[in-house]
Amino acid sequence: MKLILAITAIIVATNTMAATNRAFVSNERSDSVSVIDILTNKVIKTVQVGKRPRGVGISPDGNEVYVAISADNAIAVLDPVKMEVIRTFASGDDPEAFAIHSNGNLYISNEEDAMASVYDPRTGALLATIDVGIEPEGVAVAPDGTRVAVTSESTNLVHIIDVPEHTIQNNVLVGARPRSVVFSNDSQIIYVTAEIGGEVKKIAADTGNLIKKTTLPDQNAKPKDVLLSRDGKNLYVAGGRANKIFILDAESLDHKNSIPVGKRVWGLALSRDGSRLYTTDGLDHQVTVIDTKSEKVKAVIKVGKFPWGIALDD
Amino acid sequence: MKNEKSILRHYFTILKTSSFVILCLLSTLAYSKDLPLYFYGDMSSNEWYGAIQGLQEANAQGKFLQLNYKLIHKTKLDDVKADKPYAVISSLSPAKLRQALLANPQIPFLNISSIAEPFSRLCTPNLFYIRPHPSSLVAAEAAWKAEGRIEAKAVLWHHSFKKYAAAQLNKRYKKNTDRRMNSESWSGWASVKLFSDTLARNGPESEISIVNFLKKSLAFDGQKGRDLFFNSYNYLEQPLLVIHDDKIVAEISTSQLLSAESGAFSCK
Repeated sequence: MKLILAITAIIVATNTMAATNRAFVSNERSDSVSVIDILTNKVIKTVQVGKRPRGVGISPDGNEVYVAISADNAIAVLDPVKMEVIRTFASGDDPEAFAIHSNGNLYISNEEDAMASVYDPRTGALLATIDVGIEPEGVAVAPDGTRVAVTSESTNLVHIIDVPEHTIQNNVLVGARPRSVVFSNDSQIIYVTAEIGGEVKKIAADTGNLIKKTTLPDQNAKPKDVLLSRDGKNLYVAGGRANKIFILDAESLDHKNSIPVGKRVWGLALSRDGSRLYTTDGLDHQVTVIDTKSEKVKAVIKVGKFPWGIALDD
Repeated sequence: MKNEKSILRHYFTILKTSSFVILCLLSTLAYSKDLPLYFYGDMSSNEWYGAIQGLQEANAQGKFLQLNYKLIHKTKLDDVKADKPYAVISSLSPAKLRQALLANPQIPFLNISSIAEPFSRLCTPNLFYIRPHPSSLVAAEAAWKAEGRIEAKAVLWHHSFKKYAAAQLNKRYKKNTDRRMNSESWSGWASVKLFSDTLARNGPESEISIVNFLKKSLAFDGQKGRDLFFNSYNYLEQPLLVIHDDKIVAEISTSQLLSAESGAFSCK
């Protein structure tokens, strides 16, 4: 089964429709998604999607954009070409963040239910539920498709879950208020941010053992999103109220650079070629575009109120 | 008719609250490692209900780590020495705890009463104060008013607090108890949560005493958005909420307020 999942991941990755070169940004307090043309860095449309949009992602074939509309307890599905909502489906209480498996299924953290749920977005069918800690938040799918990691914010745990069995393989205690998680390119390591104390931990995915941890070099840092560079060498961490992106060495977790962005930087997305990093800066109602080679800000784009998540179709 | 509805509603509330308490206590039966915590104080108090909420959340973590916390109401302090619980949570006057504290130096006592003690009596290593010293509350209010602002009251917690997932905690507590979380219930909740998280990190069989671990390695934010820690007097340093007209108008940290009040005195 695990081999099938890995093959599926490769097939899907090579079978995508032509990209629209657009970024989709969820605006938590505008109930909307701003669509940005990433070739011109201009907002080309704002789409009303439902109440309190937060997590956002694109289907593996690029045909659909998914937005967690938390206060509507649903997922809105957008057509990335027409830039309109084509349907919604119920997704359990208070969906916050989600990750998309290469088989197309959504792994959703249901904040108020202490649960992760698995949905087929094509049919809206609930495929599985997994009990996790209180206030689940960050979700990541391993690139090889064999594991999912979910953080539980008030229980200070990251749960490593086997796919397709959907059984918890490991529960790892991390720092206070874990927010986000990402797998390494080889699916063997997870990186977890913990908001309180400004901590990042590097953990072996198969054993749950701690490999390294670091504290971000800024007392205001309340890290949220975390992403790996395409070559797997750099870790990008959204510093929250530090208003910076922290670049860490993915191997040693040593701090390499900090890039000032807007206030309360929250969500991150990386272009397919890894040359541009996009951040949502909640309190400044903007998206910042960073050139990852020069590590300089390339553009700032005003969007709706309190941008939360961002996904690229490029 | 209206009266009947009111009676029904009353009984429904009692039933809901009792079910919550019973479920929380029953939920502790299914797991492997039992970790008793003793509670001294009134079982109808907000502190108790807060502690029960904390127990539910502690076991929500514990079930993934094979740890099972039990909150046991007690009246006789001699039971501490006889049974050696993992921790004692108390809303009694700290003065009443004195003998039990000294006889059981390895057991942390988490004091959730609002009764003040003279600074000269604060330095018992295993007594931890969850609520700030009353002088800190007074100092916080004075600091707020010093700049010509409206009169306001400093509290530990308020039912309208939303940041740092406080809204979710308020919602969970209201749903389970039909009460609004306040400073008393927050201190009960926090005492169980900070202890259980510390025990989970330290390991119940660790050689390092829980007293030391609480003092040096606490990793707990209390849904207040920053690392809380016990200061040199073992008071929990934490943000206070300043309330005017039942609304939060400011957040003030207890850091510096206590030392300003206590002058040069230190436990070190």
